[in-house]
Amino acid sequence: MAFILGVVLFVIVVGWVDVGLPWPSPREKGHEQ
Amino acid sequence: MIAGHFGFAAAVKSRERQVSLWALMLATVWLDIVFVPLFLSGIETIVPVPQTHGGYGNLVIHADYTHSLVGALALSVLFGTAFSRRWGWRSAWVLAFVSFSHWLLDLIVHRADMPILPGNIGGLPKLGFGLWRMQSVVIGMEFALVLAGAWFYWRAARSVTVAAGRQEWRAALAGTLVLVLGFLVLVLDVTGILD
Repeated sequence: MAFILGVVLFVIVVGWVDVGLPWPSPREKGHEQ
Repeated sequence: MIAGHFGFAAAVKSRERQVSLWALMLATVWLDIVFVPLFLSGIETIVPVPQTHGGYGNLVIHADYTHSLVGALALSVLFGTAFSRRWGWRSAWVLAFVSFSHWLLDLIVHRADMPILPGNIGGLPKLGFGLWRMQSVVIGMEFALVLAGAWFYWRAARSVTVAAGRQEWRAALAGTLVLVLGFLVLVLDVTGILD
């Protein structure tokens, strides 16, 4: 149960808060195609 | 181990800032996510260590496919590759590494229950250093990972926020969430309250 709660809290809740921060986009660094 | 994996992923985010944290968090538990349906179908199993009631650190985990060395490598490459087209190969490799870090951290704590080949083909010796025999050490290790992850993540988040001329509260909130939720998940895992 701690595992399921952990996935929900970290992937969705923390992930959602993190998305609002001005991180560089993946395309700005090391996109070698 | 659950919380420690999330702490490690947060620490990686501070170095590889272009990779979304949600994807890193997903990557760090990817092996366990694949484990769930195999566990529910009885293909992979968990049994208590003999003469214990199971629970944190007292489990032998027969995850012979998802947590075999070769299986974990294959699943990690698969996970990273899934993001390569959208985010490029650098981010893909970072995600694959974080996914495989799950196996490396598990190697430290698991009793010798992690096979080399999927399905333990060939009956090769199983791997695991068995640090779970010293539960307090593992709890300390997990907490240290959460603490370090939250610290490094918060510093990086504050750095990019200040550089962008934005208010720092969201960075502080995100860092605090990593720390508080990590501690919460660790407590729930150790105590088994919700099981």
